[in-house]
Amino acid sequence: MEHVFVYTRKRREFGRPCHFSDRPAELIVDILPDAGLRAEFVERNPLPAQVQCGPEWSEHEVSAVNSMTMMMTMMTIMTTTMMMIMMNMMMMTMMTIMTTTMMMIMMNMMMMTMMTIMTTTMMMIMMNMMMMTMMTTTMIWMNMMMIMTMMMTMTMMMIMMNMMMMIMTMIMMTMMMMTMMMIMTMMTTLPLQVNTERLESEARGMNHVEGGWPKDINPLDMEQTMRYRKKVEKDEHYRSAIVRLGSIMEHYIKQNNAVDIYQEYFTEGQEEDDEEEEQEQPVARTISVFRDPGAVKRWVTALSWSPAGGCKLAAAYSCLDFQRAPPNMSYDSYIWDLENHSRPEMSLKPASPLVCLEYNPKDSHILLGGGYNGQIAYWDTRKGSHPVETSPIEVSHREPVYKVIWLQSKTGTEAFSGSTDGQVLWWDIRKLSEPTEKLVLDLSRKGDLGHALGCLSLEFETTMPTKFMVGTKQGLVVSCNRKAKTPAEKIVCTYSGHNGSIYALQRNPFFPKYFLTVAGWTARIWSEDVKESSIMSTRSDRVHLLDGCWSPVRPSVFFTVKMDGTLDVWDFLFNQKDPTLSLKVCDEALWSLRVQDNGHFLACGSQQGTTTLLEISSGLCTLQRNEKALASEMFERETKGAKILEEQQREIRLKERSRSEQSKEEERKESEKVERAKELLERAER
Amino acid sequence: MSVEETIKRIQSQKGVQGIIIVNAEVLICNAGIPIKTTLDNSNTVHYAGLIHQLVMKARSTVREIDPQNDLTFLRVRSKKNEIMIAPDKDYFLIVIQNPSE
Repeated sequence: MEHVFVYTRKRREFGRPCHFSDRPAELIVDILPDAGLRAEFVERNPLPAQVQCGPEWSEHEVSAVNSMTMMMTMMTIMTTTMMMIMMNMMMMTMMTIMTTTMMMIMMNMMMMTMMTIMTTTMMMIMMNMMMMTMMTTTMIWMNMMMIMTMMMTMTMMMIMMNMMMMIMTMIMMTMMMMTMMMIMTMMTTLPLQVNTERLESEARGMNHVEGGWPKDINPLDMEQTMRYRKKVEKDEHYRSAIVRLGSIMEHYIKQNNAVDIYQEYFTEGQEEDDEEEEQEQPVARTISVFRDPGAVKRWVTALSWSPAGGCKLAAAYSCLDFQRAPPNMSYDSYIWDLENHSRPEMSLKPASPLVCLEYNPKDSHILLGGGYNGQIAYWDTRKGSHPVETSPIEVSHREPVYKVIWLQSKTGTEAFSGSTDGQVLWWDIRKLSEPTEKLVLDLSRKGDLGHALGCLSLEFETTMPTKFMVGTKQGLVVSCNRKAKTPAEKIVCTYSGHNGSIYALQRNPFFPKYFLTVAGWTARIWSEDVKESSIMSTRSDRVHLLDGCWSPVRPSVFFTVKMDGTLDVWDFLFNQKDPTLSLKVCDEALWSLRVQDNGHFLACGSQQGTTTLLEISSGLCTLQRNEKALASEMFERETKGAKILEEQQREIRLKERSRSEQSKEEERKESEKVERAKELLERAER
Repeated sequence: MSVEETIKRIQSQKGVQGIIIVNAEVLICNAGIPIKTTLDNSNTVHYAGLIHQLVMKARSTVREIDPQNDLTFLRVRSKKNEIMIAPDKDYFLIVIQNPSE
């Protein structure tokens, strides 16, 4: 609700103010506005209507147009009053002076008369003329009286005059007051502050004009400035200073001309940010930790990132200690969402704890897991925590399924699994009732399970769908061909050289001819051509290496985890002997390791059931320049070296064989000789 | 070695666009008086006034940080050219150069 104030009666309608007196107010001065001056003033409409409430001032509302005239009148009145007052003052002073002088004169006269009286009386007394004295005294008295009266009258007159003057001034004052009043009551159209000083401010820029000239010289006058300049130029101080400065300046000018000191030197480096980042120490930070929610801590034996982005991590929990799993251990495995590390997003409930778990690379809802009891089961996350189907125990593996891998197929439903019972089984998840194919890892190619090698890791590369590799518990890598006609042909070749069971086996995503194995105390890189030994190997570590994988973005970087909970990042282009980065993730052994597809994140699972998610610095997950070329060069070099070594070994072996054969022959010959000798003897005896 | 020769030598260097000599001996710190110049008057006055203030500020900065120190040279590099100022007690020598690189 708005309050609106409306004037009901304008001030001009008020009329004359009331005077409480018998006689009406007399108009003594009426100062009318001068219309001729109006042209010189700019009318401001509307005027600022602020009222100043200062203690001394009364509210002066003056017509704007007549302000000047009013001022003038005021001035005149004031001056006149001042003059009057001054005159009054003067008169007063004069009066006082006169009176005082008169008084003085009177006094003097009195004194004189007194003196005369005294003297005369004395004389009279002397002359013994009483009568005379009487008369003289009376005469003197009369005189005095007369003087007195005169004085009195004079003073009275003075006082009267003073009074008159006073009255005059008073009248003048009143007149002034009256006029003021009249002015006040004059017609007012718009109020205007009369008594305040108006401060006008304006914003101005400084126009830089020549300044700084000494006072006597006018900067605009050319001649004067020229003269001043010439004077300065003749100054000796000036000369020496300029010469000195000139030489300094020349030096810098020449410098500028010689070399552009602000030139961009490393333009290539500034285009890419990698150059600066290479200087940085590679770091890996722990982002989050996913703990096994169960009471009994189980080992994280397998990790799998969800495909196409990888915002979910599936972790398989089981206890691989033979028969040492506590009885109340839960069988569940979990799917974690990276955002939420306090609770798993979903749990998978198999019949037995899962040793390995893999997302289907084509379908992010399907997971396949291999259990501790040898069964294979698959889940659909849309359908709940229980497996959609599980393979029957009779046809499954007889030992824990250590690895399952999805195959590249049109239907996207095929996978194969490997276990330490020596079998590699192929499955189609639509029909898990029996495996589609079976292979026994028997090196003698007889299909004998008793002699079969236990499979701990499998490797399958989508670019080479017919070949696959098996890493065995015995330390051999077996390369197999799936499409071979007879089972005997399936096993193509083996790679030996490791001294421990092979926990991890992976081909380099950029150079599939080379693969990485992690076993025992070392991690090795192998070339397919060289069967006897690896082409590159890390130094033997103090603790077992338990898992490893290549970085999906950089061909020369791979990761390994160890039994003491350390994660090692190796960049063999940078340093072959030591890990580029070694990070202690936790105190217990790390059993599994998986890098996300973009190479930034990696997850590792420990013996206590904690999965740690790490982020690695961008230096380690961005492809460097020439990295592919350098890596391939390095691989080739090493392969050549290994081949040469192999050749040497073979030669040595051949030599030894031939020597041993020779020695055998010699022995035979000797034995033959001995026999013949014996025969001769016998014949001789007969 | 006279003033004329010096100025001529500097002028002959590659890329030099102008030379101004400014008198710094001024009570009011508004502008320096250009004593000698190879540029036109308005530009000269502009440079003289503005650079004078800059040099005063720079010098006072250097001195405030370390009273024993003093400003010996000042370069102002801009996109188009470089202004080089050699200050003295009473005079400044200002050279505007266009670094050709």
